[in-house]
Amino acid sequence: MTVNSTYAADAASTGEAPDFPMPRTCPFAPAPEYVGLRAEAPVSRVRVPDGQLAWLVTRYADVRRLLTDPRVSANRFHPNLPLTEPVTPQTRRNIAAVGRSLIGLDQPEHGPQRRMLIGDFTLRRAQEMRPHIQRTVDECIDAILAGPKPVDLVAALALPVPASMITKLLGMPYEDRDLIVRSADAQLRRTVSAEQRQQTSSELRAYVDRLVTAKEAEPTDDLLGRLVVQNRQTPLFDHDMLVGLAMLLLVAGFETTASMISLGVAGLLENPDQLAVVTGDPAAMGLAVEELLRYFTVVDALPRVATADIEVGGVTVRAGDGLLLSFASANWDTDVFPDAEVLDVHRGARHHMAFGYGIHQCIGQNLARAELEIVFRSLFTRIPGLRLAEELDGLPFRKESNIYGLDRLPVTW
Amino acid sequence: MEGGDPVGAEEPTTTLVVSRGLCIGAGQCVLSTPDLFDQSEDGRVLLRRQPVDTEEARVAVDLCPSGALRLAAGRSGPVVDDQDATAKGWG
Ligand code: HEM
Ligand code: SF4
Repeated sequence: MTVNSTYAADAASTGEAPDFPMPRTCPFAPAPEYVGLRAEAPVSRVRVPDGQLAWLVTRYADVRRLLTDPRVSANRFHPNLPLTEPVTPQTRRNIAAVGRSLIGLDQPEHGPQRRMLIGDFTLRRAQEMRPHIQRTVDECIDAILAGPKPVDLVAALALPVPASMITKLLGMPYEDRDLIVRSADAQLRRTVSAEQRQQTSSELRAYVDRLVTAKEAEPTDDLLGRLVVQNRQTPLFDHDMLVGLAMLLLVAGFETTASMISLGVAGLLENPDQLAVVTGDPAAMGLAVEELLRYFTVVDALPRVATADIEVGGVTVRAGDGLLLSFASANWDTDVFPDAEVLDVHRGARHHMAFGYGIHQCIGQNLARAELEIVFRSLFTRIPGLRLAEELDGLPFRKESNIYGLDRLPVTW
Repeated sequence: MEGGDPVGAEEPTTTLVVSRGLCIGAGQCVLSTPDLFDQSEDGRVLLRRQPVDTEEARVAVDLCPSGALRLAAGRSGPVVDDQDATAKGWG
């Protein structure tokens, strides 16, 4: 590990930096500290779990500007990249290949990889997925209606829907859907030990390796199969990179969408006037989903590293300094979203940063939108009397996790 | 300000510039302004028609995360650039 002299000097002269991630206190609002930081210290020092210092950026304009600044790197292997969750060395090895794919690349490496994939993620392709998503959602709701009350909506709906979508997209055997659900679930739950988590991450790595090997032997007509064929024509990936990319697609689209499903349902149930708007006017659902994405911003903050000195928010970030760009704070910046704390499905704002911004902006965003629209519409149409089976405040929200969500969402009707 | 905000440009003649080499296929343009933008099979932005009233394009320009859509001053008519930008690097 390299020692960053700027940090050492700054820490000594300015005293303690607050810990990051900053926990939420209200289940429906980002960390309360963000309000004061946006007003008074929009770029300020925080300490991540492994002890490193980083700059937390909280204003919309600054976050957006840095995400398009070529001096800001997403390199997952930079020693100063501020990791928001402690990882074991083995887990780090398991995810190393992910860092060599898409999400950890800067230009000029990022563009060619991204371009190999975007044909599978156009708006048109997302629309073509709708019948499949609808079928999955219908099956889940059939099972919910046939089963006992109350039911945990995370297990019954929020996990199976994105799992089914991703298995279809990647061309995985349908039976393997359960493995994805189990391993993601293990990654998410706080009650799971670091060893168990490491074991599931190793299992997933081994599974994806077998999957990619099978596609290499016999490329099928799905995203991974097409990638293997394209890669023969224009070699960009070795086997390990393909595995990393497949892991990224599996993980990036799963937890995030599952979280948005359970939080979105909770958010609409707790705001009956807003729910009435979307159930009364199916055309309002598209923008309601945008507002739910903004309101909950499940990806709270993402790490970057400055590769040159950058002036931002009244401070000079030095080359080599770690950055944490908070989408959750940016999306509640009242300079851009008046009354940001109000869930307003009529807001009509598409310029939120729930999917990020810049070259890494979520590749699966249109699939995610399709899933969320179909889930909310189908659920509230088919179970109009849906309500929470427990008090909202007592529900197991993942308040300290960098990907916000719910472990369990008991509902009845 | 560094980089600048293309939406802030107030010149009397502004032009929509489409750099397909920068497009990362997020689809924000197609989603927000479907009568002006489309995506090709390979996932990159397409302009459906010309000429373009730049007012019409403003929302998409603001939403585009990659810099592939810009408003530039002083030229007339949209410019579609099919050059692959990656060799030069992005920025
Ligand atoms: C509501 C659901 C989702 C949310 C909130 C979300 C959020 C995000 C965010 C914030 C980023 C930016 C990462 C960065 O800047 O470093 C991102 C990137 C990404 N997302 Fe999503 N995502 C969602 C669903 C999906 C789905 C369904 C897929 C795939 C099927 C997906 C695949 C990806 C990939 C591959 C990237 C990396 C793109 C790149 O680096 O070029 N996501 N997502
Ligand atoms: S919004 Fe920009 S990056 Fe996204 S598809 Fe349109 S032009 Fe390409």
